Amino acid sequence: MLRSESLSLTRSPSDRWGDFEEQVKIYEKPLYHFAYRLTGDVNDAQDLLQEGLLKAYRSYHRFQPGTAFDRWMFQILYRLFIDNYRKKRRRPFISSLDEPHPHLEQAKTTDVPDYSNLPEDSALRQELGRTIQEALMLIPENFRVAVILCDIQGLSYEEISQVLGCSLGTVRSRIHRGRRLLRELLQPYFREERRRTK
Amino acid sequence: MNCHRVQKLLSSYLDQELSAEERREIRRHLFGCSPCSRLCDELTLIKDSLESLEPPAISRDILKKVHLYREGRLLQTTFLWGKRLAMAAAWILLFLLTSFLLFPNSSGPELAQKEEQRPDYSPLHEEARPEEGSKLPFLPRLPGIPVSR
Repeated sequence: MLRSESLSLTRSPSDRWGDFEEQVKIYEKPLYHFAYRLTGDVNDAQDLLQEGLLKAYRSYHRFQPGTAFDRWMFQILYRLFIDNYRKKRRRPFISSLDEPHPHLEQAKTTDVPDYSNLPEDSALRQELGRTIQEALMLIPENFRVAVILCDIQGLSYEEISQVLGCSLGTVRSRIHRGRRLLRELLQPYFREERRRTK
Repeated sequence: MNCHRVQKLLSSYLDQELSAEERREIRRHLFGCSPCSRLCDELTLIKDSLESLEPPAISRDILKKVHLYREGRLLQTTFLWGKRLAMAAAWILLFLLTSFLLFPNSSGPELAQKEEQRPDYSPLHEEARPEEGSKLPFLPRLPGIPVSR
């Protein structure tokens, strides 16, 4: 946040494009991570991010220097996601029960970067990531976004309420209910993990 | 604090969004209540798992659409100036054409020629002029047409 503030203040207003590019470079990873956890698909996440950045660039004159660019972008991405989600809901997806769900199928082919030297660690991390993503996709999107912003992006309840445009009490309730739902969905996995480690 | 209240506040407790007094009360309750303590452990595990998630690699240029938009806008401004120039040229041409069609004989050399061909008023026609002070209406003298009174 401090870096973005100093950038916005030192640059002249005419160099909006350069400023925008710098901000995107700083925050591209958390923004992409947010989009990915929200959509559950690599291609959808990249589409959402591209669309969101275009929207942000077009209204960049309204962005106040000194405020957090990533919070502003989370807001844009979430609104875009909701719009797309509503459009998709109007055109329901029809598939066979025997076929794997498209986002789950995609998740299997997702390349997760190797952050560990041990192959077992990497495999476990991949499996955990996949399982959590599957569970995230099964909970309502307003709970999902609150949990993602809190646990993955590390935002405070106050910041989440600003991004989502709802009260602090609503944020508190959504996070709690989202985690309770995740707990129910992930319980078999954690039980299995505990059994394996014993 | 009873179990229901504690379970409701557990997420906020884990996120450190409660007051010091509330935190102390919950800690005291968790110490003596195993179901609430188990729930707290499970929620902590979920929170830790979510925090440890890593994003997949970005394989596309995320600013592609912005680049395209900017290029489009640059082209648009270039075309806009070209369009303005073409419009100005068209208006000038239209103005010239209209004036030529409305006043076909009022061009420079032709007008000079006409001036030369105009009949001169000689002293012969002097008599046709009305006398000074007479109340006769003024009749214009046209070439070739005798003035009658």
